[in-house]
Amino acid sequence: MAVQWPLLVFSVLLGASCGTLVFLGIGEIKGVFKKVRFPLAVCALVLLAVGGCASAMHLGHIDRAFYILGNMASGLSKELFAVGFAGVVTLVYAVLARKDYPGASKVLGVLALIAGVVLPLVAGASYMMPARPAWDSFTLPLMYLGTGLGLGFVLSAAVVCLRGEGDDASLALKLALVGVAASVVTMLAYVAWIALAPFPVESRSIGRLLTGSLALEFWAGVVVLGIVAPAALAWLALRKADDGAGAGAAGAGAAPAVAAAGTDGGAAAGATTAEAAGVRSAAGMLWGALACLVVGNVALRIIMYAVATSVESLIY
Amino acid sequence: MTRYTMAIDLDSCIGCHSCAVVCKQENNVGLGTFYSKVLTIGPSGSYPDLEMYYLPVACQHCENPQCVSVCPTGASYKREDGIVLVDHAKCVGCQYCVMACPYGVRTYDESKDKGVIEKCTLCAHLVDDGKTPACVRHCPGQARFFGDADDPESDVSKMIARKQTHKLTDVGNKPSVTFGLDKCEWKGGE
Repeated sequence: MAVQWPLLVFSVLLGASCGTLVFLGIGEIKGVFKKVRFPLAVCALVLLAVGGCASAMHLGHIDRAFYILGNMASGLSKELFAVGFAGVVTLVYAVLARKDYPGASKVLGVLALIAGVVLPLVAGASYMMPARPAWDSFTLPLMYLGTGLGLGFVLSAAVVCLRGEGDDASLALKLALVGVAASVVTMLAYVAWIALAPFPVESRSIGRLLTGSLALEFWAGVVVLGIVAPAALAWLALRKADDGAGAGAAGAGAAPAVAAAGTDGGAAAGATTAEAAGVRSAAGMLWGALACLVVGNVALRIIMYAVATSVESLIY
Repeated sequence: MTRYTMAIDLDSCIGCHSCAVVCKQENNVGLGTFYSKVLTIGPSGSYPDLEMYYLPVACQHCENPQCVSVCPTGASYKREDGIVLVDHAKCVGCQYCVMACPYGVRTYDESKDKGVIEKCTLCAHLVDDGKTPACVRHCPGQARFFGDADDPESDVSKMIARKQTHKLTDVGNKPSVTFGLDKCEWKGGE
């Protein structure tokens, strides 16, 4: 099957949006990320809206788009309904995030978390169909969820680090690493399904990825940029922030002795500066990891469409 | 209950492509688009024991059509007489049914009625007028049979009764079109 670019763009942006929602939901449950929740909620909403517009470009008749809610047994109808639900939850959450309504924000945060988990699963499940063996597996919706967590968590953690909040940054960086791990595991699980799918033929074989016409997309796109680079960068970012925090703590520990010499303010400022520098450096690495993840996600979806030949392609 | 379907005697098919041509003419099918095609299967075996047959393909008007169950608007539907159709007034051109069809016999037609899905209608307009589909009427090998699969006296039922029969690969959709082939080894899925 030819690459369906509007749907590809939609699925990547949807994943990033949903990962961000899950990140915000975790933040609400733990009572952290207060300063970034509004910009991140707006970011999630914009990603979802732009993705939705991109997917509409796939329709032959955009004027009839709302007919899509006509058959709730259809995966596409469920997907549109889930997108609407996530959009409304994100919008209300963003409005509440501007004010101080802790209880309501927590409830909406939990709803955002649920929407962020359910929507990628629904979107991925809409592709599961017996006619396309390479898609007919639960590993596909899991891949949509896992890669979404990777994109959203890394994006959100980068924004948290950019704001330079020490305690929040530590949790955000750990979440970024968890998101990347989810992305890596689910990407590999989907690639494994391609190898195991029924009705094997050359057009949807694992050999096409390893040594065939999709080798560049697989090795350079998925393996190097989608798996190895983001995992390494997320881990290095966590280390960098930890090193900064360690240097800061050492500086703060030396402060009393220095204080006796009458320069306590300078030592404390030095400690804070070292920690902030570590977090800012980590932010830079996370932006790099995000760029790699986006390329990796695009590459994996190109492969996903390329191997999605039907059981018997008789005319088209 | 009437259950219209088609049976094709592959031993009688001469691979002339008349069915594909007359289908385009009858249904005003756009340039580069086909509701029906004739594939050449083989040659297979080793010399001098070679064999080959022709396989006319189109929508299989499945008993459990996946294209209908995935259609988000209800544009793809199955009539009570078994014919699967597309209501172009409801079709949004999402191509979800094209993905769900196991046989690649649906197409997104931009040449005629832009932005909707096209496929074999089993010439429903002729059937409703008491006639047979154009491909059946014009087949010079008399290889195509149309009728009610539930009527043992129909042409379809009679052909199925006298031949070794096969169907395209079934992934739960239960294709209704039957292929009769005695003289060669069937190379399809079922």
